[in-house]
Amino acid sequence: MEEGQTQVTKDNPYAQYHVVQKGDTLSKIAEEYYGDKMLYPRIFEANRDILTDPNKIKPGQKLLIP
Amino acid sequence: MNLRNHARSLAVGVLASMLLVAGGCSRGKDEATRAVSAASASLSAISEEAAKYMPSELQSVESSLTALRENLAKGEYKQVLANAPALTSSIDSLKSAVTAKAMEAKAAAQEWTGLAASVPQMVTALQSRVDILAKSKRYPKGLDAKSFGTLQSDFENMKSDWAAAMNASTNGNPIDAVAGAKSAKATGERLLQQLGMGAAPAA
Repeated sequence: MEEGQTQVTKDNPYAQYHVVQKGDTLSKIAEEYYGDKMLYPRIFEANRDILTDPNKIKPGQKLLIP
Repeated sequence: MNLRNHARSLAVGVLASMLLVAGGCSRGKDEATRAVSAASASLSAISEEAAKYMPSELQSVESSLTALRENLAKGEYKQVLANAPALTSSIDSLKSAVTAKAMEAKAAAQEWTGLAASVPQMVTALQSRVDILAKSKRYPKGLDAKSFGTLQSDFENMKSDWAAAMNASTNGNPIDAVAGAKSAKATGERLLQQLGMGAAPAA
C-alpha cells in the first residue's frame, strides 16, 4: 500500500467484492476492475488476511476490491 | 334659571365632560399598555428560537413592536390600539413558522446521525477507487479518460458538499447539514454506479 493512499476496509458497506471464479487470477481481476492488470498488488494487499501468495487464489474466495 | 344656576350647570357639565374625556384617555392608555405588554410577552416567549431559525423575520416583528412602544410612550394610544392586532397576527405567524422549523431541525438532527455515519464511508470507498484508477494505464469497461475526468470533478464536488454539511452541523444548523449531506450522498451513489461499485446499501 502506498503512503497516503485511502484504505477501504471490509467493514465499509460501500466496499466492492469479487468472488473468485475458476480460471481467475489477480491480474485478470485487476484488469476487470481497474483496466490495468499491473495493479493486481492493490487487490493482494487489501486481502492479506486471506491471501498469502498473489499467485494462489481459490474459487469461492471473496476478495475486497479497493 | 338665574345666572348663577346657569353658570353652575355649565361648570358641572364641563367638569363631567372633562372627567369623561379623562376616563376615556385612561381607558385608552390602559388598553394600549396592555396590548404592548401582551405583544412583548408573546414575542419574548419565542425570541430565542426565532433568532435561531428565522432571524430576519424576528427582526421585522421586533421593529413593529418598537414602533408600538414609541407610540405608547408618546401617548398615541389610538395608534397603538389600531396597530396592535396586526402585530399580534405577525407574532402568531412567526410562532407557527418557528415551531415548524424547530420540528424540522429536530427531525434533521436525527437524520444527520445516519448520514454522518454513511457518507464518510462512501467517500472512503470512492477515494480508494479513484486513487487507483488515476494510476491505471487503461480504464475498465465503461470508462475512458474523459468520463473519468468528469467523475473526478464530480467527486471533488461531492467532498465539498460533505465538508459544507459537516461545517453546518458543527455550527448547529442540522437542516443545512442534512441538505448538504443528502446532496453529497446522491452524487456518491451516482459515482458508485458509474464505477460499477453497485448500489449503495440502505442508510
